[in-house]
Amino acid sequence: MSALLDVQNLKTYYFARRGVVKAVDGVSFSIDQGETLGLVGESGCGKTMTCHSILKLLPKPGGRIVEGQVLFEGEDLVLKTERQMRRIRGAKISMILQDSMTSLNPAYTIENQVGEVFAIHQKLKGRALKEKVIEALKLVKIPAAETRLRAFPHQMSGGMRQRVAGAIALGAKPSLIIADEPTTALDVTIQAQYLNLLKEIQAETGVAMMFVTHDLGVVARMCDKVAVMYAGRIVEKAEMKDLFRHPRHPYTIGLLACLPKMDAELDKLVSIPGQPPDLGALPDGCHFAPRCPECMEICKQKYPEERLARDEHYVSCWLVEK
Amino acid sequence: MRRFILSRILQAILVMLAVSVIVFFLGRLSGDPTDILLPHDASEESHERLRDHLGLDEPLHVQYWIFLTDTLQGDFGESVKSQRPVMELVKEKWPATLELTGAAIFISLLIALPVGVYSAVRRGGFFDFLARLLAVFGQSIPSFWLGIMLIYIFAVPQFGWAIFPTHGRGEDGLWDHIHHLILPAFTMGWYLSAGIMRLTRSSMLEVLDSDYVKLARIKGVPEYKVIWKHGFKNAALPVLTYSVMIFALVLGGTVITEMVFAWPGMGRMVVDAVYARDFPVVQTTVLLLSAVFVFANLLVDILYSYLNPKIRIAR
Ligand SMILES: Nc1ncnc2c1ncn2[C@@H]1O[C@H](COP(=O)(O)OP(=O)(O)OP(=O)(O)O)[C@@H](O)[C@H]1O
Ligand code: SF4
Ligand SMILES: [Mg+2]
Repeated sequence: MSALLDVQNLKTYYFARRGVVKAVDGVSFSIDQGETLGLVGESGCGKTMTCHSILKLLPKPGGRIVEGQVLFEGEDLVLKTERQMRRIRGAKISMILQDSMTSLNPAYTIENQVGEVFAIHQKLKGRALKEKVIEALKLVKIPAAETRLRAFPHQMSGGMRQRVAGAIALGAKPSLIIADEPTTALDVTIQAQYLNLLKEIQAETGVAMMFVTHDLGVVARMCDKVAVMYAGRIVEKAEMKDLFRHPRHPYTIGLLACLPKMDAELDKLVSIPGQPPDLGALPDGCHFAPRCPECMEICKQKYPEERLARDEHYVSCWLVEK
Repeated sequence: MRRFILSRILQAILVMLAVSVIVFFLGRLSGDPTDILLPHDASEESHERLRDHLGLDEPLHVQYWIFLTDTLQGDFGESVKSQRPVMELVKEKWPATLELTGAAIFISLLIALPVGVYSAVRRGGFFDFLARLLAVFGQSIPSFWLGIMLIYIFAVPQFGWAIFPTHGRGEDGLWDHIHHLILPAFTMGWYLSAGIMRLTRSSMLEVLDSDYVKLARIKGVPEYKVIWKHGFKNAALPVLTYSVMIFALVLGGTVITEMVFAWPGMGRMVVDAVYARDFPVVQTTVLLLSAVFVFANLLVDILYSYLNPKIRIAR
């Protein structure tokens, strides 16, 4: 069976006046139907840019996919026109953004914003539209959904707003949702509830997920597979359990060293000294070399090709023999 | 929502009341109109009689009460000087001033909104470049020069086409009015549009960068709807305030200009009336001008509460 989403050697650059930012520089991964992939990595390593590349919603002007394929249900999205993409966005692939405070439009009611998805993709109107909206709000377990229709975003709590964002993303029954740090802006207890909710909905609808996060605890809880990203490239990817038990890349090992404090954020940890490189001026060799405790001569000269370390476990590191 | 609007209307009424008090008593401070109306050597007795005739012999608070109740009943009194009803005088001058200012704002919005919005949408592109260049021209070309050029091009047959009249206001029918308005309103509107356009552009840029616009695109919303429904409605707030303020300012500015150039409009009339201590005329015109400001503000508030639902609840 072919994968639902198959990203191959994706390169998305940002062409700024000062130079080229190689935000996504040859990324490959795949997600099967109903599966959850976790994408982890430090701030600025290109996670969001990867998500936006899949939907082809890149910062304009300047952001561009320069190479690679994004195969979704067997068709290459890179080749699709804007018009064709619009029929996919919100209907087959949708996205939950980080902060529902800013991602919901302050000027429109919940009904209007959730309803828009059905109005556009299913051409619904009036009564039928309203029923669909209520159904979507019930799917994300918003209590007394009927009474929330006329509410505006600012009248709801953060947790409820993020559920509305979930209703918008899941309403039209897409086969893939991309969640870009969907719980970072929430309180810890609300976070747990929200993650459970997503799990339940996934079990119910069979939607596949791409889950972007800083939080390895969340990965352990939500994901089937993990891809670790560093400076625009994926340095290690594997089954979730395999990765946690047998990490091979020194960067992954560094990240996991902090695991006892599972819900600590990667950013705040000092376990890996140094800073990630500037994506506008990457070193010749392994991007992690300046911070790597195991760095060798070859690491500074040549970027390590991706190797298969064991079943379904890929690593880009000179330490791993073929 | 209804309560919000009601409270705003109440506020507007209170402001108008305060204005009426101020204009009434300040006017009285300027002195006795009979000094001006009567010859230098008139007897104290004739002063007395005229004051009695004008109702100036009553105590001040009684005079104010009469003024207020008359005004509320739509009776604005007669000009002390010309003996004609004040409303008649106002009706002569007011429409010209209001018409030109209104048309100028309308034309400037017509130019500035679409250009500002698309300039933001095509940020950094050729259209944006052109629009910003035009904005600089808009503000650096003196209005009088633009006006004269427009007259040359569009109204003088020897130089261009004689499509529009060179001067004066339209008299018969709507089309005649519009025909006469286009050149002066464009001259004024062109200048105003530069500022409105810049503000629209920057406001749109900010909104287009927001997460909710991103989410609209993620939902698959068509681009024109992303721009106007999700973008413009949020970007319109500062633009709206600015435009109304400009309207009020221009209206005031027009009054001053008329005054300076002895233009026979409202402004001229007010100043003359002040000098003549023609209380009814001063009171009515000042009240009318403030009513325009207050009403404009009220309109902004109501439109605001429609554009930004947060305001309705918060206040
Ligand atoms: N609009 C933009 N203009 C210029 N550079 C950008 C823009 N968006 C992203 N970048 C650059 O692309 C790189 C990748 O950014 P991206 O947002 O994908 O990182 P991220 O992994 O999602 O980080 P975070 O965890 O902070 O969300 C960053 O280094 C950033 O400098
Ligand atoms: S390739 Fe070398 S520098 Fe890079 S992670 Fe492996 S050991 Fe470290
Ligand atoms: Mg991000």
